[in-house]
Amino acid sequence: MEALLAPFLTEPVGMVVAFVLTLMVFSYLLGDNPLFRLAQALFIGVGLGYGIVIVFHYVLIPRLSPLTTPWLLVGPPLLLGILLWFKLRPSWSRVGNVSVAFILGTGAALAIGGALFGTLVPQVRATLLSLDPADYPHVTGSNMAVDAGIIILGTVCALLSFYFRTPAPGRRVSLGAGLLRFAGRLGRYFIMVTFGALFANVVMSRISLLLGRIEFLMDTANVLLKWLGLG
Amino acid sequence: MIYCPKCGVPNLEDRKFCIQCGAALEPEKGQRCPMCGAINPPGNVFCDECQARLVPVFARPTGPLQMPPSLKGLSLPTKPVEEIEKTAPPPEPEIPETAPEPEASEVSKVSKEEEGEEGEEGEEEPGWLVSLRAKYGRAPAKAEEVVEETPAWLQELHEAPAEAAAPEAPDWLRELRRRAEEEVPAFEEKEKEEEKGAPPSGEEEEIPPWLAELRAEETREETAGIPSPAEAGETPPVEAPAEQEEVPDWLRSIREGGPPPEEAPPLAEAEEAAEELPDWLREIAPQAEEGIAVEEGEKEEEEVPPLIVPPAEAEEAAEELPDWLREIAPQAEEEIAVEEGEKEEEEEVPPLIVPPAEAEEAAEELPDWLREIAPPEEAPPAEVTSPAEAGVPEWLQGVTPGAEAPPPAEAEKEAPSWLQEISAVRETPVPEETAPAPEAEERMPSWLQELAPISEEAMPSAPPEEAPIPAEEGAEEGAAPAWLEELKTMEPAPFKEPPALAEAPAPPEEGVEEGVAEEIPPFPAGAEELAETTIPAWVMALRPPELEAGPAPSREEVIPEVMETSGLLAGIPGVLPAEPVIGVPHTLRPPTPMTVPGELALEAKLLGEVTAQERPPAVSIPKERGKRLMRQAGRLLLYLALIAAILIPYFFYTGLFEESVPPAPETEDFYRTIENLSPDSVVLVAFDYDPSLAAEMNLQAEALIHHLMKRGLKVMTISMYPSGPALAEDILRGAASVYGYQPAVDYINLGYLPNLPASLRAFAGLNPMASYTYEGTPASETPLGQRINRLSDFGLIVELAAGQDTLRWWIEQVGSRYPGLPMVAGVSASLDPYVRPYYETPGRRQLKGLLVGLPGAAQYEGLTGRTGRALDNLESQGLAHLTIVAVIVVGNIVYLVSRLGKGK
Repeated sequence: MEALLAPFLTEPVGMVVAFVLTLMVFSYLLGDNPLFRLAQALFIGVGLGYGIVIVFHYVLIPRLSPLTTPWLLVGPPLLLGILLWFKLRPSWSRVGNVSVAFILGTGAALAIGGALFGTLVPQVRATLLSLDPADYPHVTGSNMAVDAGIIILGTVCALLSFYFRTPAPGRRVSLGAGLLRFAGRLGRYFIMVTFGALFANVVMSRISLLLGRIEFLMDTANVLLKWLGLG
Repeated sequence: MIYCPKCGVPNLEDRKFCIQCGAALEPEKGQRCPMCGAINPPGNVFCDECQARLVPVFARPTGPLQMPPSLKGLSLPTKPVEEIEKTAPPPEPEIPETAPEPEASEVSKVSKEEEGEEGEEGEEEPGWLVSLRAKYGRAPAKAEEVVEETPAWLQELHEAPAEAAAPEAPDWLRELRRRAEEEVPAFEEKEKEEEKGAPPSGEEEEIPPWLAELRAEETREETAGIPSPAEAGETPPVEAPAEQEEVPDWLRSIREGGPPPEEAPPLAEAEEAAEELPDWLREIAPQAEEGIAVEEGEKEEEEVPPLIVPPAEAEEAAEELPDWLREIAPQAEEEIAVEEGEKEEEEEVPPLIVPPAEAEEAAEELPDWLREIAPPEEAPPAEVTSPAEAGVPEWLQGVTPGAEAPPPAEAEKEAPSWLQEISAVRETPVPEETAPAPEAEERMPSWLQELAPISEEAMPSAPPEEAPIPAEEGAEEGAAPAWLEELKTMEPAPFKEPPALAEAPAPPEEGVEEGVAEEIPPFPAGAEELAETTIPAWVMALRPPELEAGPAPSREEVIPEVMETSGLLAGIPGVLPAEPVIGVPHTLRPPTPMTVPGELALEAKLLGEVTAQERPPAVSIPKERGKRLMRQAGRLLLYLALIAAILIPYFFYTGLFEESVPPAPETEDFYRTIENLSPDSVVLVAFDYDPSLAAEMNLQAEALIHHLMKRGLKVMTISMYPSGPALAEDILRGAASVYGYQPAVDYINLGYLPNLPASLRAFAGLNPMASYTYEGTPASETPLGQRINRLSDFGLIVELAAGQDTLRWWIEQVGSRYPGLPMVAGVSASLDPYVRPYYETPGRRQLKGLLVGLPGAAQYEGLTGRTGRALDNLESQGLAHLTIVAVIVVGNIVYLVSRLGKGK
């Protein structure tokens, strides 16, 4: 079998196929066309198939193998997994509610716990910065203090920008409401700067990807030219 | 489907009227209202929909008879309760079949309405009135009520003869009572015979004497002209011997030709009047008593003895009767003939109308109460032939039209309140028609009002052209009371359905082909007098011309006959369901063109001209081909610019990014963290990205793996993306070949980990080696795998993330659980804003180091001393960034300039 597929398993063939598919995807720059759709469909199909194989080999087999998992630990999860299959039929879907409930419950607990102790608390703690330059290294003490101030101000204002309230009747606004309004407006500016930075990083990332594709095409072209004796 | 009996058009079963011609479809299950056409139950007197009268007044009810309420106000002498019970008359004969059913209910309804309208005054109903009412469908007044309000002098009529006459009761009244008792049995027998259907035998013998007298007078008149009163008086009636005593003085005087007797004192007059009461009138009183008995007892129907003298008897009695009374007899004879000739029907009471001349004479002797009944202005009676008006008793004088006003003093003293009410009726002019004046109706007692002519409602078919009763013609003064007028107009003819109903054809039977629409019934007589209204032209224009002429299409024209040719239904027409007919539109004829009047035609013409005008040539929108090409060209230029910026370093050396870029702090920390690991540390590298980001992440991964292997550190890789192990394997093999690493000894690819926080939590909680390697061997069985029992055995965790989820999961699920386990991350440039807070947490950083995109990889390569593709690609990256910046700047400048230009 491998001898039969050997010609197709060599790198040049793979490169050629990838080269062609890449050009087919790039054809979208000229508009939607069947080549692009073909490449897109192939990508989805191959990726899905590859994923199914990987899941089977690296998830089901290891989990069901007594070598890796004791049967006592396999039984309940396996039962829950089988019950989950009943979701395929609407009339029997109620049977799989137990599995869904288990999944939702554990997922929610892990997500909430992780967010709480992995993100919220550490990040809140991170905003407790000292504005005293002396608390920072001598060289960059003042800079660090300013950075700390900016971080605190930006964090607080960004959070206050998400504070929504109904405006009080009349034109007179209390001092507290005015401060909140100002802080929220300032926080929106910080958020806009963040979005700008985010956009720039996304552009850089995509350019890197383009760069990689072009580089691939260049390399493949060289290989093909050499293979064809033209290079 | 129901086929219209008129036009034959099929209609749905739930329809009541034909959709084509409007004829009734449903069979007459009840009675159809002549006004609105609604079907009413058989017992209805009034239509449930429009309250129109369904049954004429005189029609005998065929259904459950609802006794009309008793008249209030005036009431004639009634019997006591005991006597009424004793003298309960026999039930009325059977109602003929031709009589429509609604009559009873109709009459009863009318009676009920009238009773309700009149309120609850004192109800005094004489027996004769009760019998009249019962005969013609009127509910007799309750005997109890009547008895309660019966005047004393009236009640004395019912007292036993043995009882001493009250000083108040006149002799004539007593006589009336006595005769009533005697004659009731005879009359009951006669009624019984009539009910059985047998013609009354010995009719002549049973003819009341007064009737006999009438007939006798008639015959005498016919033979020898107007008989003299003497002759009239000489010829006694059949029962003359027995009734000579009963001949009233006025009648006797008529016969003898003498002057009427002088007015006697009230009592005397009353006594004399009682003696001189004609038999026909005498019988009324007993019938009233009978009626009361019926009411109190069983509420049976009573029949008023026909106050119509048979022809033979009438002739005899006519000789002795005054002219005014004689005129009634012929008419009565005619009525009798009609009755006898037809089925057993009721006999109507002739109008108790006295000729005016005679009435005046009779009025002198009439009691006051009765005198006041007859308004002098009512319709005149028959011809006045005899001047023997003086013979009319006072009590009867009031009945005669044109009679003088009765002695008000005496009459009013004796007349009860109910009678006084009638006096007001006399004063009001009564039209010639049978309908009493509304004012008179208001003053008249209820029982009189009930007898008021309601023929207009009850007799829809009664043409107004019918000749009035001859006896009424020529009346000059006065008019009969309302109840007399009504009796006069009552026709013995059976109830006839209105022309509309009568002409409505029955539903066609199967096989019967009918479809010709009947003609519209003629407009009632007298309609010619109506002024013809002018129909507006626009209305005329809307009238479809098809209605103007032409009969309705026959059924064959509308529905083609379809017959089955085989099967059980072969040859049977009209049995197939008219399914295709259902879809046939109501009007099978093509729509007729509407005649448009002149003004509208001009407007329509103008509108047509305007619409017919050629539309202005459509403004050709210039194709935006050029603009589209411009947009496409600009896009293409941008693409080309980017590609050129990327390819230029491949072909040309620019020297823009020749100097090494100082590494970022996070990159240095990343490098320093790895450098600070012990040589026997095992580093876990998570390849959490897919091939779509491999162009960026592979640069970091290659630099990392090379750095780790260069330091001699053991490497384990794992991925939460299905394609991650493959990418990891490719890089590991490449680096391993360089540094001589052995799989399963120096590095292990742990394969795929489900992309869930729970799986990561389980990986972190359980033995990480409880999985298979990428080659398919249990990781725990590998030499390197045996060194790891839990996650904390790793020296470093490197997260190469392309998505923020996996990075966060590693930090939250693993980093929070193992805070002492160092963790660094290499992320795509797009994740920098998301991941940097984890790095820039002062004190205890969650990420020890950070690689951000291609620049980070390039910096990292510079730190490791490795010349990799990241540095080569950095120039292209830089040129592409410059190109994009230039495009953005130029674009904004152009936008601002153009906006300023538009603003000017």
